[in-house]
Amino acid sequence: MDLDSVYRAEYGRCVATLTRLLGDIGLAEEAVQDAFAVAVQKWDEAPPNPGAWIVTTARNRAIDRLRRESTREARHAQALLLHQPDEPEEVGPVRDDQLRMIFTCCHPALSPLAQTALTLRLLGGLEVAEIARAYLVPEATVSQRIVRAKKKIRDAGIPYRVPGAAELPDRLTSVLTVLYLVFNEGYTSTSGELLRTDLCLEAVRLARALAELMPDEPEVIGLLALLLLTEARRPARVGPSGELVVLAEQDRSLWNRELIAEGHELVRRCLRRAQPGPYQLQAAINAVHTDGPATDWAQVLALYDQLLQHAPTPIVALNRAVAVAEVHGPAPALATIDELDLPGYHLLPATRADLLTRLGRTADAVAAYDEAITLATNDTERTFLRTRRARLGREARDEMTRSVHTVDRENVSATLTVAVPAARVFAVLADPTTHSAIDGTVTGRVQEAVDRAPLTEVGQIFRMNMYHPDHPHGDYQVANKVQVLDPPRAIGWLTGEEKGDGRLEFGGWIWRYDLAPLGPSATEVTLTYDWSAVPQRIREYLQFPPFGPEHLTDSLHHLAELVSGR
Amino acid sequence: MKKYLLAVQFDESAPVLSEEDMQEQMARTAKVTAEMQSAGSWVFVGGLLPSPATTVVRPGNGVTTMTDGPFAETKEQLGGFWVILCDDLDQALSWAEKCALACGSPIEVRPFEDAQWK
Repeated sequence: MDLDSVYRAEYGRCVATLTRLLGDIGLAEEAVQDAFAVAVQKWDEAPPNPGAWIVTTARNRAIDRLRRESTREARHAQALLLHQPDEPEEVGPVRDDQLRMIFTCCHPALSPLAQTALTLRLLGGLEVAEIARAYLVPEATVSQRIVRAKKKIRDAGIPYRVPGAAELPDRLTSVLTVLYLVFNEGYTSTSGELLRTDLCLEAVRLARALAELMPDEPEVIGLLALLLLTEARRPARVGPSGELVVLAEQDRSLWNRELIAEGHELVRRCLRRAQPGPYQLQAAINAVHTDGPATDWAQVLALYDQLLQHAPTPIVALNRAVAVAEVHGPAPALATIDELDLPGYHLLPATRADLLTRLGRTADAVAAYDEAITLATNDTERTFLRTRRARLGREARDEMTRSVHTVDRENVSATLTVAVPAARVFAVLADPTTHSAIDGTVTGRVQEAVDRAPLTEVGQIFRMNMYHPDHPHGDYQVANKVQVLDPPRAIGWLTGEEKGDGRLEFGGWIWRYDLAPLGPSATEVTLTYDWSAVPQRIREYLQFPPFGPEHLTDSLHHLAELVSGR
Repeated sequence: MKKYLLAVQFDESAPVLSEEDMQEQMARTAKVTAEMQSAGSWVFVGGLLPSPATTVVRPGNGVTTMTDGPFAETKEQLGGFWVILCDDLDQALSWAEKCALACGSPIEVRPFEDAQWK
């Protein structure tokens, strides 16, 4: 075993024991760090019981250190130390030390963030930098939070002991919450990549330790089972290119069979005890999900009904709706979540979007996906939601677009309905940098905007780099002039060329978009190309319209993808 | 033993209690104090008059100025307090729970400076 893994495995245990011996977490940490510094110099390889070695060394270093100091605190700590027996620690008290430490770190008098940071630092042995990375906060913030929490433990006299029977249920809840949140943060990080494996593993390790320390607490066993059964599915949760894979589509052969067997065994242990609680019920739900080739949804729903009684929270109600949809169909499920109040929680609109999709209410579903995408903070989840919505968009194309292609003497137009507000469509159109994407690859004409500022007034000129195989130079540049600007209803421009003397000459044709709002989140977009004003001399060498019949419709679909992707 | 202040954060904007409710509340509060005394935790207790009775004396350049009214014009004002002696914060918190239920106001639990060491 190398020193790093000894550190990781033993740090928490050693600090817990030294805290009991010294009566102060800060002194304990210093002593343990001193001992590891000695280990770096002295160890060729780790002794048979590295933890005991570290504790003994830390204790001796602490005595030396305290003898050199003469403060009241030092004398007090020294007195405590000298009254301890000199023998190596027994297993029993050491285990109790850890348990005491868990309850101290998760004391409700500390802020939830401080509880988490302290638990990861003192019990998990994670470095401040690792915690900061895991929660994407500056190192200074984490270290300040930990310093303040330790100071409060000391100043306010937060005890270092396992709470008595009367306080235990409440205090245990706060311990379980911390472990659950650590796991969750690892499983679905608030930002960035989807999984932070180390946090998941740390939470499982701490839950295991807690279950060993308190084997008679059903909720502790329930939490461990829940974490194991969730962790077991982790390998199947993310696809080959890092995308999120939902439960129904997961490759079950990737699930960790050992963890599932262990989780199922723990759930059975809980069932025999018949003292159900929220963690046990969630574990049971996950046991059903991981039992056999497919989920027995009726059983899941029955468990959610029970869970809702124990924990009547909107999040439980939302999760229950998924089971309702499987058992009774999407309409009753939608009815159960219509009144839920979960501001800012992206899974509510995401669930609604899924149910609306199943009900064939495509435009509403697209709007719900949009809301979910705006609220989601995790890149992988956002990509997942975008993919879902795009899939819906393709179906929607066939179903809800009225793409009418009319040629009326000297203009041609097409119309498409998009499921976003007119203002959003307008904002995209008024941004010249989007124009090449709208033009698409069909003609391959618009290459890149030269003038990239948004279009804000009539008469504004914006130049575009173009390419056309028939053009004498292949690459060329046009200068467009805004002719119509009526946000958010209409925008149109003339296309021209800058002549050698800097003068602009326009061809006479106009591109124009008309937007008609159809409610708060749908807009009918009409794209018109009008060449009625083109002078004869240009008509002599250009044929109008200079594109095929699909071009306008394609542009509108590109626009639709663009506006819903923002 | 550590010394803690249990400060009653009284909401002065709340509607005044009826005479009867007030009597009940005082009886409940007195009962908690009696419990503290028989447990050997009690050091001091005092109820305060509402904040309009307050005067603030401020130092500055070696002289002082006096102003009418409480230091901070907030809804919650110190309504009274206990000083207790406890083994640790948990013990102080369990007294605070009793006090909060008895007087119907939030209780701020604050350790004394000398609470760090036994």
